Amino acid sequence: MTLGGVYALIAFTLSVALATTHVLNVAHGTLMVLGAALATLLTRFMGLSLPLSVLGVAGCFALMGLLFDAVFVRPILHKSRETILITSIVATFGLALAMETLLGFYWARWVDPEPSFSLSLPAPHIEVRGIVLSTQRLLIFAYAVVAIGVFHLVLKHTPVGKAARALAQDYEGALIVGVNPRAVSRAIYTLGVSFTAISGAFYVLTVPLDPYQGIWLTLVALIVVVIGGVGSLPGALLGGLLLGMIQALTVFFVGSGWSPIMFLLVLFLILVFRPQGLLGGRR
Amino acid sequence: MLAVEGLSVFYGDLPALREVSFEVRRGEVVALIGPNGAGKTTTLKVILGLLTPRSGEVSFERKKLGREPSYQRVREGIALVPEGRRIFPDMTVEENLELGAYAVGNHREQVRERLERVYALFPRLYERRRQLAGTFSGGEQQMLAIGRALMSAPKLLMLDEPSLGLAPRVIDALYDHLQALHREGLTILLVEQFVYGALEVADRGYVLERGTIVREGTGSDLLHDDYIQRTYLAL
Amino acid sequence: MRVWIGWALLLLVLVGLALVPMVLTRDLVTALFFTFIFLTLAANYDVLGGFLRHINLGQGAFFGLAAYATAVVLTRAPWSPKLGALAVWVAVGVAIPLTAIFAALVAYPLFQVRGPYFAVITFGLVLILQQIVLNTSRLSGGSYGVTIPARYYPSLPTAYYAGLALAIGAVLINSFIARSRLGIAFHALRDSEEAAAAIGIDPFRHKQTAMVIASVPSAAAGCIFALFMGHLYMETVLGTDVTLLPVIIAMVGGSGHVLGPVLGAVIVRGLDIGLVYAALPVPNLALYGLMLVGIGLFLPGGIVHVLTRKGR
Repeated sequence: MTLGGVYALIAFTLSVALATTHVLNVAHGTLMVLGAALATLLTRFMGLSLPLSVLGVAGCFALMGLLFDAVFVRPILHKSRETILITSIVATFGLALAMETLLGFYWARWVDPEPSFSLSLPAPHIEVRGIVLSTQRLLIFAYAVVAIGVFHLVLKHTPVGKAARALAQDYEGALIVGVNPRAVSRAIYTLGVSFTAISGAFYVLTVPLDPYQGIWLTLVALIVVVIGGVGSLPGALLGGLLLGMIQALTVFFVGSGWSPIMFLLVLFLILVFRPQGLLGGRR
Repeated sequence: MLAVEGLSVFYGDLPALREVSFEVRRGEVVALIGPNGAGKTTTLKVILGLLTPRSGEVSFERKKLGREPSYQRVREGIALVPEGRRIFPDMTVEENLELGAYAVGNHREQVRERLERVYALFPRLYERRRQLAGTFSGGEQQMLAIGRALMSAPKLLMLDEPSLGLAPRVIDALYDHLQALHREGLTILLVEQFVYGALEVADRGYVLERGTIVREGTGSDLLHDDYIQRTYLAL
Repeated sequence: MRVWIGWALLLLVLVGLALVPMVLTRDLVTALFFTFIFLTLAANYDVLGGFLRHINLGQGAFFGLAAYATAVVLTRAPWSPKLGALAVWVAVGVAIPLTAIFAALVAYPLFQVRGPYFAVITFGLVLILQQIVLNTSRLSGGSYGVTIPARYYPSLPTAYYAGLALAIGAVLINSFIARSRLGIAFHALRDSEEAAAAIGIDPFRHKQTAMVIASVPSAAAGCIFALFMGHLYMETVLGTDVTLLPVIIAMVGGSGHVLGPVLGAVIVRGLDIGLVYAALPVPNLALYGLMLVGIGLFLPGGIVHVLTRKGR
């Protein structure tokens, strides 16, 4: 259930990037896994405190976002929508493949023969008036709420955010007004990749990740996007929470292996009966 | 102010413009008229840098624009009111207007000042400034699109078929507004299929057919030209 | 004159390929067999991906489903052992129609969306099958895999020729579509579904037809692959690379061109085989990924478009 917030967040960052630049970043989930890996490395093997390592992840991946924008987005931004889509799928899939293979290979060789990324808190539970609460879950939930809030405020009130929304609503219209798509994409990817990586670090507070789960996480984010509608914050929240809930219920009643199947069944049902998404109008 | 020289544009192998040359002088209203598919919109897109020409050159204030991106051109004083208005439907009127000033810097004071000027010109926009622009009627959207273009304080305002889909009464009001802007010293390049109205307000005009300029002259000369009367005014 | 040279060249290549099992080592013949399998998938992918511009990341689902169906019939059906060698044909006779029906059915939810969403949920199709395989271990062997009895295995040359025939068939289907009325309808749909619908081309029916056509050779490839490998793991028949490699091959070669998948298969598989023989200290998949990055960024139209100088 708490993971719903994280799903909503990674879906939202992915869909904002997709809506403003038409780049479908298949490596989105892999960047999240990398964030989890770096956080694990910093806390477990280098002894940094959790807040410090989250800061470290944020900084490193903001740079990574800049780099990603420069290599994978900027060179193709002037092409047609369809070309951008195809190009970005091939190139970012290659990136995801290369990153996960290298991560798995060198982590096994240098750090731990069985790569698995997880973080733990000093006090996993707190008691409030006799009720035991999981600190991890509270923390994850708080993070998701704060991060989504920050992202939302940036989009709603800063000039760059407004320009991003303009690009998403009418790309050429935004160019006519004088929006510089390169500046917007740089900002979107710096912020988006950084948040995605931190989400990875928070995700592994409850569920560990291995190096090869990135593409699956991308897919989860995309399911949320399809369910909720592109670039829509309420849609992403609803979709994320829905998946979080489905996951909790299937784990409880059937077993954890079935939750991916349930995700996709729900997606297919929604597509058949409400192809525009739960909240979507236009598509 | 604006000089277009020998412009040729191709869509794939199909020529859209062939060796088009014309100019717009400071303080003028110039009309570019012609039938559907003649290349009028293409011309405007090239001037704003949305399309790259195969050959030819666009100069603005004696400076060659080359391959300068659109946002740079907006900054230098070119603004376009596109065909079909292209306002941002899920944003409020005020957000739409603020975006108009996006390219030229975001000093709060300056943006405020310009907003007030646009609101003074179109009081209707002020009344509905918190509404989503998607709920507007065609005429209101056109005002918003013009207001948005004015937010960048352009030296040259280009309009693409501003009268399209509007009721005759609304078109009259629109042209009154354009004339008012012209009197304030704004240079205007007007693309229209509504030939009569356009030539009436224009100082000079060009007729574009199948990608080439076939006639040019002052507004009233063109209005009385035999060919134009037969082809476009159906007199 | 030039057409004549083209045909002669084609004949030469075909004769060469027919002689391969007698000349090359077992490893190389096997590698070529895999190349034919992937070429079949890539050509099939291009029915939707090239003619209709619907990026289908789920082509591997048809391959994997047929492979598992073959294995399940041969190992779990009580009547299989009694049929002797005929059982193989029964298994294939079950697997291919089953896959075609599956393709027709999944068309309903899948074609509700277009563009990136289509790409993504077709990938989801593969993931669903993966999870079903992992969670129904009594039928599919789960993560341990399933083994087909050795008496059903084809010899390497048999598998090789079957793969070659399939690959040629798949490419011929594409060249036939490109010249037929169906191809014209596909072209219209690609340019504008609304306009096509207005002149009486039913978008959904045509896309569904394309999906079923594209599923059959892939299903046959799945059957041969299952029989040849003998032991099926989820990763080898339904893994991410099985479903994404065909897309990559088509895109590298040039999507939407009959020869695109062929060129792509030669290049991509050539690199792949080369990497195996190069035995570098870095994992091959990583280099492979980096090559995709380069191809994606620098050759978005594929090799065919460079050769025919029609780059986009």
